[in-house]
Amino acid sequence: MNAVGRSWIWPWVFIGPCLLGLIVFTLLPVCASFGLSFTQWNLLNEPSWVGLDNYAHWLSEPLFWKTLGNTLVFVTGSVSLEVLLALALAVLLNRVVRGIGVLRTLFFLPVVTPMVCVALVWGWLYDPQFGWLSAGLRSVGGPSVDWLYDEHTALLSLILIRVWKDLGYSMLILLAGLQTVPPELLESAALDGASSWDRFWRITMPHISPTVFFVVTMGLINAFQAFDVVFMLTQGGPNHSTDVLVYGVYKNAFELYRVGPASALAYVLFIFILIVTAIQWRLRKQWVYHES
Amino acid sequence: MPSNWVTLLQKGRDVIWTLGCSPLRPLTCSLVGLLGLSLLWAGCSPLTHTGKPPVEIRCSYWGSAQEVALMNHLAKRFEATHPDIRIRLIHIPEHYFQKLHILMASELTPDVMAINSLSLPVYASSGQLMSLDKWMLNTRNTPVPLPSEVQGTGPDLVATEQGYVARNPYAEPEETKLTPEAQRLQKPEAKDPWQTLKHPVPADLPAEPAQSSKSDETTPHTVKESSEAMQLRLSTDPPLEHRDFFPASLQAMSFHNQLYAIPRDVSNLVVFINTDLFEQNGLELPDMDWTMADMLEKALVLTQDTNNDGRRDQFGISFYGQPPLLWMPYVLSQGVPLFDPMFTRFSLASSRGVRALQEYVNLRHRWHVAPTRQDVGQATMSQLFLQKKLAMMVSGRWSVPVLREQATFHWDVRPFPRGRAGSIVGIDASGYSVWSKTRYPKQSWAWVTFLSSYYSQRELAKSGLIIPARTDVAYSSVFLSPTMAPKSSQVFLDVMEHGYPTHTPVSWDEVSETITEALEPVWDGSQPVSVAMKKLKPKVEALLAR
Repeated sequence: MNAVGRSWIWPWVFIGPCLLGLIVFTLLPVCASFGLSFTQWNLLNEPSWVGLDNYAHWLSEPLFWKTLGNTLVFVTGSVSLEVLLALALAVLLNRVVRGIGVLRTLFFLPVVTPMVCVALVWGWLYDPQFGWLSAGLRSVGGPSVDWLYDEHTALLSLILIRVWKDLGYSMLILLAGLQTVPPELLESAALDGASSWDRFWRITMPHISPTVFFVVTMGLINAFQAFDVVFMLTQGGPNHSTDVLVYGVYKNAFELYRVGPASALAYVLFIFILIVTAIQWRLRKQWVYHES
Repeated sequence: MPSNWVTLLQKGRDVIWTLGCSPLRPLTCSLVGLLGLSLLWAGCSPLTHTGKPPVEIRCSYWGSAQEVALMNHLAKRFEATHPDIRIRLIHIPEHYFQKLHILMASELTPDVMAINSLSLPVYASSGQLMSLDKWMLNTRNTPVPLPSEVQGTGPDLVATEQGYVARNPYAEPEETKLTPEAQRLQKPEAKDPWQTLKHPVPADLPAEPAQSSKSDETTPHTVKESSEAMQLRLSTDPPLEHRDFFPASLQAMSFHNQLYAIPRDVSNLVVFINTDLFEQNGLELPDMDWTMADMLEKALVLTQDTNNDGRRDQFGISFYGQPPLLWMPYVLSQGVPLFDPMFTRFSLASSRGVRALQEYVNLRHRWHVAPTRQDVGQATMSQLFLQKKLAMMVSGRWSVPVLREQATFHWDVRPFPRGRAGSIVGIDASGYSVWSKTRYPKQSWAWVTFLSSYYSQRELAKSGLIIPARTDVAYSSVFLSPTMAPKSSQVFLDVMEHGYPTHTPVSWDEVSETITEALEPVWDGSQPVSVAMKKLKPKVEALLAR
């Protein structure tokens, strides 16, 4: 056995199991799903070819546009709120003070809590009768808010849960980014008379912009895939006000067994994420330091 | 063979050789050893008296921890009397039909599966279920024998072609008036079908059932078993007969006049009543033939703001937006079915249907006697009832065990109040089906027969969770226990007389979802029923046509 031959085969031996898993559990289903998006199939009968009917169905279905709108609001709301709050927290926690480690840990705790538990607890917090939030508002003479049970506040309630849950993760990443900012740059700017606001915008932000880009990208991908919080708390209601695309895919495929329309919806979501990612990559050159 | 293939094979050989000679050799040897041991273990698995390994029957079901324990017990007992069969139970506690559907799509369908009448049409129509009529003794139209256990001791029963009818359904069971000695003398000696088994039951298993409905003295043996049924039936199993079960349960488990599951239990709806709240408010308990107007009248009195904070916190009657089963009595009792019998028209959208639904919605938004979603929050109707915040709750037998265990007040049940067409609730059933492609139909049927036996259903009925589909168990003291709440257990059986076996189309999942979605704004009071129905009708009829 010559050395060249061995060097050819060993990489494949090691990446083989992973590659096999990727092909069997990701690539093949993705391809199969594309094919199935042109069929009607309830998992039991033979699939029947319907061409572009499933896509046409969604485009002509008012519920689809409402779901798409909800998804956009959910993604925009949760990512922007999460990044802003995480940045503010990271800046506050990027100091050497007593007990800072405990605070960082506390903010990170929701990240390691399973979403199912988070949803159950928040479900009761939002309860209009027994929930602490409603009780708190009532005790100070505030308005009676029905949170998850009012179509005007349900989506906002879910956004708040998601932000609370993921805030610690984004904060941690941004904190790591903040600690890469050279202190001598900040010191010299301070000596030159730059205000703390100027130092933040002109020195800190450009330095952490790749980190912010990463946090935004991950946040967008996660928010587009949001399912668990909707499934656990609202199942898309009330009146479809919290229906998001991934929950629609699940409901059509595994509750109504409409695999064709569900696959078509999944591809619509895929195209949507692709467009958003492409825009993001184009824009990054304009605001991410070192990328222009 | 192309040279590159030869090279590849040589490389493969080299890799194996390298593994065998490398420091990994002990690992390789261990893996080979483990494989050998596994094969040896598989080869040494217990053999039956015929010298063959036992046949494994996979059986899926849903249910609580109590039901899991019971199923394990039943499987153990069955295996003791059928050493050629091993039962592998697959408990699916949540999203049962989703998982079953996926198993079917993967051709991994269990040999025997629990199923309900709502899901049965989709699986029967797609050829997943075996028709079971041919396996049963056809006694559909034979007079029903009186179950020996209740002969002379239970309620006054009349056997008809439709099953048992109580002459005086609300009479106190006479059993309570008899001395133990008199009861013993009145009960005929039971002929235990399980005592004739080839393989005796081990001593550590519980005692055999005391009674069987079909004693030789009472069963007119005018029915011949078909040769096919005889071939399929194991010699040890007493046959099942149509007349063992409530006709409505057989109807619910049928599709296109073919029986696809042996019913285990029947589901219907009654009104649970907090009798203490009635007493405290000076109200008389409802009659057995009360009307919807009576219900509203009482609900108005029982709806209160008990802590004077400006919000109602005690409600008269429950309210459900979904599933449709739970609000259907309000329209069925007004003479409106969901669909026409041929599943071509959506009858609920008729003017009578709109009126019936509007009257239901009025309970919430006009009379304010039923809680809104905001009033309820995360709590369920059962929780509100347990917390004494709900005086009357429309629910089924499944609520009984929890109430027996947790209720700190007195409660009872009444039939659903009468509407223009009477007191009509939907009747559903669940039971056991056999997969049409099972490799072991005979053994699967033996297991289903055992699960549907007097003994098995009696054990399940002891939990209080179900209304047994077997008439002999339903009319026995196990179900109609005079010492346990509810006092009027008989109501669960009586409502079946006028019940409406839920008849669902093949596309029920989609139809049900479409109706539920369209009615959500109606339940919230943000859309009139007529507007929702106008939009809903074409959608539902398109689904029915498909």
